Amino acid sequence: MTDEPVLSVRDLEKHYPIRKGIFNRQVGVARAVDGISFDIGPGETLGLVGESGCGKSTAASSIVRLEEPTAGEVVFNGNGRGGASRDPGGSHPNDVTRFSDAELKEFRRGVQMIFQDPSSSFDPRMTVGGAVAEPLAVHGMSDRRRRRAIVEDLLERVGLSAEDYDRYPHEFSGGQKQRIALARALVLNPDLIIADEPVSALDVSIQAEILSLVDDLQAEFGLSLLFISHDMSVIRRISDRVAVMYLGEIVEVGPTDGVFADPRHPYTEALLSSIPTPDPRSSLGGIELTGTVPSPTDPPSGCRFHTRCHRVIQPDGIDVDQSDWRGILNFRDRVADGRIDVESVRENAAGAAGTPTDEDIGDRLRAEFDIADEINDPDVESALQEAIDRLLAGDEEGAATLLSERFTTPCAATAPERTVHAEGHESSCLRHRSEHAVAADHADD
Amino acid sequence: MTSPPLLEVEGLTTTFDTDGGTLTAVDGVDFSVDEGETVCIVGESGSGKTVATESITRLVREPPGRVAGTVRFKGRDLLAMPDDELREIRGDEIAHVFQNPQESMNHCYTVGWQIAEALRVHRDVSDDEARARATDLLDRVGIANASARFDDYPHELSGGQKQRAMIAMALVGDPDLLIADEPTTALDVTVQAQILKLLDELQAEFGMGVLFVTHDLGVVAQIADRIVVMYAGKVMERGGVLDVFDHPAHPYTRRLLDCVPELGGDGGGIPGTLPDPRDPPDGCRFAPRCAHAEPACRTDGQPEEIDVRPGQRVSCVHYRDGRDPSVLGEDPAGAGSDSNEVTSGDD
Repeated sequence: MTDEPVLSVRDLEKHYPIRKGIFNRQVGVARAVDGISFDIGPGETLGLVGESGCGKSTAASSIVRLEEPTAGEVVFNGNGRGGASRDPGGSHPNDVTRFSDAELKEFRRGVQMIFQDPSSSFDPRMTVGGAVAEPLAVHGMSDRRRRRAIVEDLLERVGLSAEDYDRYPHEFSGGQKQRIALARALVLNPDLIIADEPVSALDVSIQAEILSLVDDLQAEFGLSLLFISHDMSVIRRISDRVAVMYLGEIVEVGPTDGVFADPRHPYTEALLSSIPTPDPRSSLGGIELTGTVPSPTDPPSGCRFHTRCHRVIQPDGIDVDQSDWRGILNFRDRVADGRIDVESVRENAAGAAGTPTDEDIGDRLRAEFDIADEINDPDVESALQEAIDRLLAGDEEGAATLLSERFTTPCAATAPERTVHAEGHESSCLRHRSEHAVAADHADD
Repeated sequence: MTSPPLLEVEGLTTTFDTDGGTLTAVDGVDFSVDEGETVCIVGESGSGKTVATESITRLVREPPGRVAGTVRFKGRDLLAMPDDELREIRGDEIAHVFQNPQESMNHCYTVGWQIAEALRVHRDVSDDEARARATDLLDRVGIANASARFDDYPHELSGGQKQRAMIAMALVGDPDLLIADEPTTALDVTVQAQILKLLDELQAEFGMGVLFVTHDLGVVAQIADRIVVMYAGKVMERGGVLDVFDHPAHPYTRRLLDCVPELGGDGGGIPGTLPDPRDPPDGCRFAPRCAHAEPACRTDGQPEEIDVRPGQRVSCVHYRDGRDPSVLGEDPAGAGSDSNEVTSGDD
């Protein structure tokens, strides 16, 4: 097969045990990466994007086995290992997670990494030539002069000069160091480069330079690239396809143009609308995500994004303004966590005008959660008002019970399946349930 | 304009004595900020934008630094003022927010205590009053359940929350001028959007002037009223945000905007690096990297600023009388800066 992917990741998981106490008992598990799957074809760039803490970097280090993945399969068909098929037992001979030490060493010749901080990825006491040549020596090229010739050639190809061979890292700027890191990644002629936020520490002008260099080198060397970044505009510039990650899962994947023009997952939509547009006439932000990424030790049930989603589904029988619905759910969660301090609300209201009535405080609460003063659905309104009354009467538990019984969303109950929107463009969102073209398991295609 | 600006900086020059000679980080920079206005200083790292803002309230350590020029704030010259008077203003009437909230907080004290302390330093308030004010501010900057979070230590807050707390600390004295140095650069885009919106709301409410330092042109477009483009310690261009984005005049500004793919630029970057601040080039600072440099650009110091439009001025020899600025290429107006090219998905 010629269109065999270079890298094929299936249901990759990396869980970190959380231990406590003198016996180091395991009390929980942080699901940093929780079942992600994607392919990278020859010469293709896949951009992996998400907020900090979503597991992008853990995914990268699990793929190259800098950390041992908990479960899943990473099939690497580079290094001339292509064309292999599965054993009768179902395991793949190119599965990196099952590689022996010798195979692993060979694998790491075919895959190289570039990291975010160029200054901390070089030994300050080693010349850059020595640093770039080191992988060659490690992998058995003992001829010093040949090593030097190869490295000098590479330094020129990344836009530095052969004379830089004998200089030290501190003599170079951040952008130049990142060029050196690129040279080091290329020196073993790999099939795949994993770049983890390689331009995040650089200025825009330098960023643009490095990105176009990466583009050129990719074409020249026929490289595949896994490009990890939190910066959507960088991802857009460099990737052929984009995978959007949230809390250990890939929520949307598709061709770059498709994902940017027509994001199908609300999270992607929110990420895109958070990018400050370099157009002074457009107004600030569209969709505002409230709160931060929940902890991966206790991810939300159902769709993991439902606690922050602006399109969170209303159950049958409820039909209110979407922003009110989001506000009600936020209110419900906050009450359930016991994180509403009625006293401080009361104090703040008192500062404004005399002794506040319960009504004033109710209005303040509603305003805080962006809920309308009166909701257009009388049933919802009365339930909400009842909950507020209970809360003000000091019955927090009663309020919490009422809210959690009355207001539920299907998003919390059901984990969404993959929906195919177009060729290669898939997302996991319950709103697409009715589009029945469901990709059950694309591992077989 | 009849009333004088809130902040007026003239001939600001900051030098540092180093072993390798005297380094000029900011070299004769002028700018002003009006009440309720947001001015953005834009430039690559090393262009002197941070040093310029830190020189305003003399946060630059002296020696080795040396700050010269005049900085008039509400008519008083901050640079000529005795230290104790300046200390009254700093953190009260003029507040700073820095890039890295982790490094700007003391790990050993609770967040609320630190905010309350900022108030106690400047005002004669009781502990209870300080606490109430700090809690109120934490609430205002959008930290949920403020009275409980008051007693949290910095490590218990996320990066975005810490930056919100820093903003609360800055606002504690009702500042007239807020100096924000890359306050969102270390944050995720989603959090950045929250913080920018917050600053916008607070500015509308408190009516303060904001001096904002950033290298992110997307952020600039969202918040700035006016822009000052700095390069290697000098001002290259200044003007209203619409004028500069629609009609960038200086070759450096044009190259900078070209780095933004959303504006239809080639995204090719700017070849070369910043000049050595110990030995800057003789003429225009940008000449060594400029495609349109000619002999006149390489002598006689940085060119004088020339008006190209009301409020927009550029320091480039090609705009002098009798010269034809079209040699710099087409005025890139409409090359994507028209509002019909919107990048966000949902409008």
